[in-house]
Amino acid sequence: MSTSTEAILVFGTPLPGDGGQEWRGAVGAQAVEVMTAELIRRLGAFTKHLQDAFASIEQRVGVYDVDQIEVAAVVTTTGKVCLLGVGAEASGEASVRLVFRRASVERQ
Amino acid sequence: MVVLTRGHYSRRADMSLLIRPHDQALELFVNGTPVALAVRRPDIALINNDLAEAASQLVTALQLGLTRGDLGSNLINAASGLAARGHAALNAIFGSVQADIRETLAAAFGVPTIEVLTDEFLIPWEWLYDQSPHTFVGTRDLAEVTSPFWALNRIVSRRRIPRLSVSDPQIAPVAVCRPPTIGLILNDALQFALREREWLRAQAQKGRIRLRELPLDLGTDAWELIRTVNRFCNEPGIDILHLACHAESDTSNPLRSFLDFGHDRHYQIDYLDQSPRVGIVAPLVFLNACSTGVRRPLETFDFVQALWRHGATNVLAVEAAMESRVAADYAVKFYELLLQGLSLGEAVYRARRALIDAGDKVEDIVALFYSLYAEPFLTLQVRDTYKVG
Repeated sequence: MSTSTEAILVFGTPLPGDGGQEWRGAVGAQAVEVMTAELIRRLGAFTKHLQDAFASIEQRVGVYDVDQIEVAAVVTTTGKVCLLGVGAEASGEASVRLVFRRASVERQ
Repeated sequence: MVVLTRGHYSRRADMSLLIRPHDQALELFVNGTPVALAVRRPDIALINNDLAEAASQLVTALQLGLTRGDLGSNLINAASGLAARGHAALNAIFGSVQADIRETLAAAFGVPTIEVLTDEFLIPWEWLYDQSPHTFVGTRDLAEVTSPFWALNRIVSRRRIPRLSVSDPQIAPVAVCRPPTIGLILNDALQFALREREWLRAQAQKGRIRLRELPLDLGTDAWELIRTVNRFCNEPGIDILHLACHAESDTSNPLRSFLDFGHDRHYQIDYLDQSPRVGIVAPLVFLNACSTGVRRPLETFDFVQALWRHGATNVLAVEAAMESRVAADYAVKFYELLLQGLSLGEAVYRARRALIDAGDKVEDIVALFYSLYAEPFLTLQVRDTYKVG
């Protein structure tokens, strides 16, 4: 069980929007401590939101079953957890790969 | 007429540091007198890396929400603060002659001016710190904690060896038409660069300056970008070339380092050699973008020297990452002071002081990062127009 003082290191570059600032160039990557408790909270909220989103996905699409969804996420140097979209720049990110597998798949 | 001139030719820096390369060492001359130490190149590289690392950590702390109250302890922290490392650098470079240097500079009239003459631009001189940071442990007065930085108690400027003579065309008066013309190249995706443009346009409306702007309706075609930018840089009649943009250095392939003008318009520094080849005629280039200043030991390139190779004679650049709002505020302050008649060195110095002393935002501390590669006594002098014939 993590305590409120435990932290993990995230290596990356602070994203421009994180501090609400605009900078005039690339800033080098740094190892930054992110509080574990905060990261746990954010990951939990992130997965909950994804579950709600995936609940609307049809189990069967045509002749195919949807039984697994893989999601790439990033953890920023401030502990935010973000969905990695197409074309996202690989800066300031630590990647997390989440695989959501249906608990049971009904097959005809 | 408005001229960019050296003013009184008898002006001399209060201290000249000549750093001459000699095999594996750099010989240091203070006011023409060899100092009884030669700083080894590996030590210089370590100093450079140390200071760059400290500045980078400061920037990261700012991005993560460093408060003004914590800035003082961040600066003077013995393990990583910029002040602590700046003091260590001062000791490493000057060693036992520090007292003599302080005595020389204390006799200066006004703010001491230090000219660094060198071909090894590896030391961010502005970050040298004159006192032991332990003096300020527990102090929360930011002005007090930052005052020992050379950036805030000296006018520092760098020039290449050999020392230019009075007759050298680079420092002869350059007569231009009144009022001074600023050529602006802008990244309009930067919110605060737009603020710089707004201010410059307002000054132009008041008749204090003339403003030419690089057209922004460019596509992403590299050849069109090159032709347009290069022609603009070559335009006669521009007195100050002002670039408000991103800059990114590619240490693995330095010639691929680029200025980012927004919307995927990346101007690689080797484009300066493309047709039409750039030959800058503007007496001053203000490169208001991140990390365009001092060269890192492992790099063979920097933006300032690239501009020099293409005709620039005086450059104002930035030694580390620059927060865009501060960049805009600094530019405005710098031009206000320059247009009032202060010299380049004075304007650079006082703009730093103005932002840090009066700044209510902690990010203003990055005003320390501006550096001058120029004749510090150059001044925009407004003279009465005269009739010819």
